[in-house]
Amino acid sequence: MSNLGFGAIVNQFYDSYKTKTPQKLKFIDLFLIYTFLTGVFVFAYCCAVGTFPFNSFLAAFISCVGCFVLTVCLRIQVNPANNFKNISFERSFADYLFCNLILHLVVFNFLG
Amino acid sequence: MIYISKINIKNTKIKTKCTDKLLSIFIVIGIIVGCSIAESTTTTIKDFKITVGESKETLGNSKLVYEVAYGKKLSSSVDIPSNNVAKVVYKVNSNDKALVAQQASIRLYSLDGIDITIPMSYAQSEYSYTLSYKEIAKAFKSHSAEYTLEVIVSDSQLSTPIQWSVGTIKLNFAVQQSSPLSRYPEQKVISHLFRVPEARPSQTISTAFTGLVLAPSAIFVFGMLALGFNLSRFPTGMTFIYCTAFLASITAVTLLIIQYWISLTMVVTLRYLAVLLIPTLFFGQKTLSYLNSERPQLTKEKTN
Repeated sequence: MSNLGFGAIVNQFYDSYKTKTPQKLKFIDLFLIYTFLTGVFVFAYCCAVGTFPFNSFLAAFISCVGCFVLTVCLRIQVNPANNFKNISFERSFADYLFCNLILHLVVFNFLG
Repeated sequence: MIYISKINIKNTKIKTKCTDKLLSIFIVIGIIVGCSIAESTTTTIKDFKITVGESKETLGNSKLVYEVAYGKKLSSSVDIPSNNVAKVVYKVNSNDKALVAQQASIRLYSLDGIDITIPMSYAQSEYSYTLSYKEIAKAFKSHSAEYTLEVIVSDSQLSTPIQWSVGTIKLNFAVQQSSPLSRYPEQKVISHLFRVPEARPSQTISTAFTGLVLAPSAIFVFGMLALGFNLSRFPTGMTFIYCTAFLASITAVTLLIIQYWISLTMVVTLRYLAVLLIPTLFFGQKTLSYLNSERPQLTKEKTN
């Protein structure tokens, strides 16, 4: 194991991810990357250019962070490796939709 | 002369009626004495000036002062801008002493037929009148023109009333004042002080960041394409309708939230949302329970 370089670790991780992770989780991961990057760019704008208009920045950032957290929760519930025996995927997805609805009502309230 | 002639007329009337000759003799003596007094005085107008200023309060500091000696004329026409005021001041001296004349006025007349005589007010041995557009608008019918200014002073002590044409003044009535129907006085324009707007980034930076923020969505779309869609489990038959209606309901809720951002209030939005949630829940329950039941047993066991 000690002989493995950084590149080899990444390759192994990638292969493992590609073969063992279900398609559903890959989609969720893709969406997580999307929200994460958007949040990073919004924050970068705030740092580099300025906070004006602050409410719009808050709305965008809360939307990104909120979405990310909710999607992570969905991923945890959907992942077969975790023991959520009583909660089906459909139930998790319905919860996810409902939480997103509430989150975005708040976000659009901030948007001004 | 006017006064004397008036007295004469009155006296002749009295004469005809009065039978007492003695009384008529006294009257004649009185007239002669009066005439002699009037003729012996020299009356002049002194310190005539017109001051033009923006308001009554600022007249004292105004530099627009037009002065003219008695008997002469103003070298040029006095222009009084609209919404400004002008103060006409003069003194009447009789034998170098201030005279409180019985009549002291200014007359303004134009070629168009407007002819207004304004009485002067007397204070501290001088006559003055402050001409403000607001006050004279009705009498002058808000008619902007060049008016000839005359000073008229008459008194029983004067043998001849003074009628001195000073010159011309230009009156410029503002357009608003021309409306006789205006019920309220014209107010000064209120100039508001607004907050200095926040510093904005340049258009290039804004556009660049808009593109940057939208870029991850392209990654998402391309990633989806790379992973590949699997629509094989999309329901058919009646459930297809439920599924489509569920997607449509979610879209409607999204549009409602966007509409809330654009124009609606929270109360109205929640009311519409309550209505929209009924079909969403119904179709959602139908669709998701179908998908749950249809899932291959192997996966189901894995998941649960």
